[in-house]
Amino acid sequence: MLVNDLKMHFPVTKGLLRRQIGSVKAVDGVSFAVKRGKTLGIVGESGSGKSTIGNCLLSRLPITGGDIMFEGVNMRNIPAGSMRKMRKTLQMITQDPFASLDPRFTIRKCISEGIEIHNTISGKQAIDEKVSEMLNTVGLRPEFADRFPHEFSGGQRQRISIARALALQPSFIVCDEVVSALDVSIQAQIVSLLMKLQQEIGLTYVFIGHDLSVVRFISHEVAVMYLGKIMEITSSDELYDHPLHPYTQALISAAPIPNPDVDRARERILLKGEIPSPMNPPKGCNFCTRCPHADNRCREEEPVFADVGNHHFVACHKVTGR
Amino acid sequence: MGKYVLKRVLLLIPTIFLVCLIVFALMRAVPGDAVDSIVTRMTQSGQTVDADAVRHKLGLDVPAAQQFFNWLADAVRGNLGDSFFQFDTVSNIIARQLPVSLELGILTLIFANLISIPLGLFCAAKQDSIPDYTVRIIAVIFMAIPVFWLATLVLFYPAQWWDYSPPVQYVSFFEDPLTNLQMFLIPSILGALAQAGMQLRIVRTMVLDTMRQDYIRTAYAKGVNQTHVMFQHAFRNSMIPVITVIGFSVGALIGGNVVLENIFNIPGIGQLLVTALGQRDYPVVQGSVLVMSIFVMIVNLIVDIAYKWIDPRIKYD
Amino acid sequence: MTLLKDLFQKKTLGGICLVILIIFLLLAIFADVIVPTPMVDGSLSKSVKDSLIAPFTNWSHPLGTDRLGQDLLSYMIYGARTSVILCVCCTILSTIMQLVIGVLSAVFGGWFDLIVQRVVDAVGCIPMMLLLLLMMSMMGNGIPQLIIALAVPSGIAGSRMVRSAAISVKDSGYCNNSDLLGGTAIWKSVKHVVPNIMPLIIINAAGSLGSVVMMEASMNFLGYGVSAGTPSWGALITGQGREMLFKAPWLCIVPGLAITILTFSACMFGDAIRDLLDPRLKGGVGSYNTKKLDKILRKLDASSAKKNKPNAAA
Repeated sequence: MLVNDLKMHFPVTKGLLRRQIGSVKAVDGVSFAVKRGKTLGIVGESGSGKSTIGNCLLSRLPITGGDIMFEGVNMRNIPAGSMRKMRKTLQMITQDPFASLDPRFTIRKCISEGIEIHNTISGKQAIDEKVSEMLNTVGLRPEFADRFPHEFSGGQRQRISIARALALQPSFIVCDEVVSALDVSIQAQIVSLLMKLQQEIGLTYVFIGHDLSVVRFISHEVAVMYLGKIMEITSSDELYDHPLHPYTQALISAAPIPNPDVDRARERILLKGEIPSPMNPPKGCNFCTRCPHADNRCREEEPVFADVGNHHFVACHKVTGR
Repeated sequence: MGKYVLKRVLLLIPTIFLVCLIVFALMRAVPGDAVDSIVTRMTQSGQTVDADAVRHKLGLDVPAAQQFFNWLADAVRGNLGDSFFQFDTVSNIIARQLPVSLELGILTLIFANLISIPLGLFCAAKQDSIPDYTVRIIAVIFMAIPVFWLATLVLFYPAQWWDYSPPVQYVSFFEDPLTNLQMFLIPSILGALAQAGMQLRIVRTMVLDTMRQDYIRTAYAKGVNQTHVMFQHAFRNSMIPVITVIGFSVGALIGGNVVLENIFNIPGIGQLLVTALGQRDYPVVQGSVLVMSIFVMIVNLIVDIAYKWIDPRIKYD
Repeated sequence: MTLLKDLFQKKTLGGICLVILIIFLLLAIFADVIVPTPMVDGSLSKSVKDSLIAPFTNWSHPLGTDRLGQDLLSYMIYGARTSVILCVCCTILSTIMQLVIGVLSAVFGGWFDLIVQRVVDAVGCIPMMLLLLLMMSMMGNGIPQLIIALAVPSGIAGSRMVRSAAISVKDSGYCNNSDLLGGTAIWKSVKHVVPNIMPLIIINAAGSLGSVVMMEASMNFLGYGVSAGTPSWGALITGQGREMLFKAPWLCIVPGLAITILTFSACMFGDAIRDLLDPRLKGGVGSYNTKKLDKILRKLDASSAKKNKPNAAA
């Protein structure tokens, strides 16, 4: 999947006549590529536009600008009917495992819903087999098929959500904060499951999250988002070992390290203030209001998103200057 | 806040237009028209009339759509036309009869609240006890008794046994308040019974609902006694939805008392409508339904706004 | 089935009322078999010599007779048939209307919703009684007319509640997920929205059962209702009942009681169903028995008082 200069602006209206007074630039000129069978992690604070990207990738929002190429098809403003068919290959797993399953559906009905919508498998028995297979795949017992969602824990429900997404045999899955609502021990299980599935089926993931360690664990490449723009993108090891953008450095320094000596010894970069309103982002570099290294150039001129070598892209004057 | 009110008021305009359209369409679909009824009546009294002349005089000789827009254009200017049968303008007739319905409605509401709020609180305090069940069953019985039936019995038997009957000739409150209230007393109490039954259950449910909230639990945990909790926390907070419900039943109370007005010979808007409907007096029917509907709309709007104003949790959309 | 079991176990009175409703239903269905004097050619047998027999005095006419010598018990049973037909048909028709209008309005939204909601508002703010009178004088008397007049306005006005419930389901996570799987609006409505608002629909339907009988009787009183000759409790009260209050009070009292009992049962049954289906009032999460808490607190008070006593003595 190739994403080029993706823009998603939500109009802000005022008054009875719905006069447009501005727009929220939730995603503003984002470009990246996801290779088949790999995982792109997207991290960022809440409000940085990462979930909006997820929704754009699945054409759930009318994109303001840019292109999304998937398997040679430009998905920008694709008609709703053919988009519905594309859902077979493009799937999404959402954050809240408690809201995403219909309380009146049995697990069997939950998982087979997509199959029934697209009629990919016909015959009750074949569908039942597929459901059992899916439950097996995600590590649940097939006997669970006739139970109701409220009988399951958060982690189990998230497994069911994964099974539901997989039932359509997609090749591309957007995981939107899939583990954020779960306990830490369960998070590890789900992430391992996702990685195992990737190895077995060759799935492509866009993994959206705000927990750096989880994202690092699953992703091949990581993009750091701030205020609707990508600040830095590179392979995950490179990003965590040599963060170049001040924002990334701050994020990584804020994440706890499970070794108290190292954790105490290292230098912390504390960011001041709040993320600015995406309705009027600062002039120049988006991060300049909170950047410890910001100077006049940062406040005036928008940095270029450029490769600094080793397939490492950064949008920062300080870094490109080096 | 101001914007919300403005938006709601603007949304009333298409609604009022639709009310006009619905009422007009229904009225024109009623078989037989005023002309027939006038012609029959005049022929019976020995006069000869030309139906077409009458039709022209009443403005009924133009297509229905044109009649509608003529009427609507007049109504917008505040002119609801003249009655076909009473020698008066519709506005005057409504101005004369609406206050009567209003008085009946307000008295009914007062009685209903006097009965329902104390009993509702009592039931909530004694939740699931025998007194609670008894009061609630009686409340449902009140809701289930057909009011015209009860009214008939109440009118007939006291008259039979004790020679008592309420005054049947309407007098204005300002002329003779005592006779006026005497006339309204029985119908408003009868009307209040069903309303009280409904309200009592809502008061009880809402108080109990509030009692389940965390702040009530906190109050109990602080050691506040039950009476204090009931009145200081539960009652106040549960009254907001109760007021809303009362507000929404105002329309039914004032426009729906057709039966009581009929039995007790109270010249309100309901009786006006029944008579006018029988005579096919188009302007009166259209005018009175329009005025009633606008009245209900305004009450609903006020209740809505008040609700949002009282309860800070509610956001304007 | 569990609902029925719950009804009888937890809401005994509601269960009893359901039985009463079923008895009325059976009376209505088997009226021709049960009645002491069946109808011939659509009317009860009349005989002048049998007129105005008081109830419980003559065993061939257990509830007495009216002025025309018609058997009151038979009349009442045929009247029950009229009431039951009205109740069932009105409730079904208005429920379907509520469901269709409310769900479509919620699922499609946008301009469609805006326009539909204006119509709903307009119908909702015309006082029900006035609307009924208008519709009945438009269509004339008769059972089908009455069904339409009673059901259509309440179907339109009641759709508002269905709509808001449907919107909250539509905005829920699982509906969004259905969208992700590629479900169309129709799919979502049928598979997710309607099943999830069913409790509300059942509560509404059960609640409206009672008002139908009442409305029919009131309409009869104002001269609009079933066509002349159709046995109806309301018509009996309005007609002979009121005229003969002094000579034959049973002609007014018996049908009035019947209306009260039927409406009462429907109301209580509706209440019981609501209590069983509305999770807000259920004894589950968030429910809170204040009486129990009071008891516990009192016990705690008592025990702490006991504990304090020896201390004070010491």
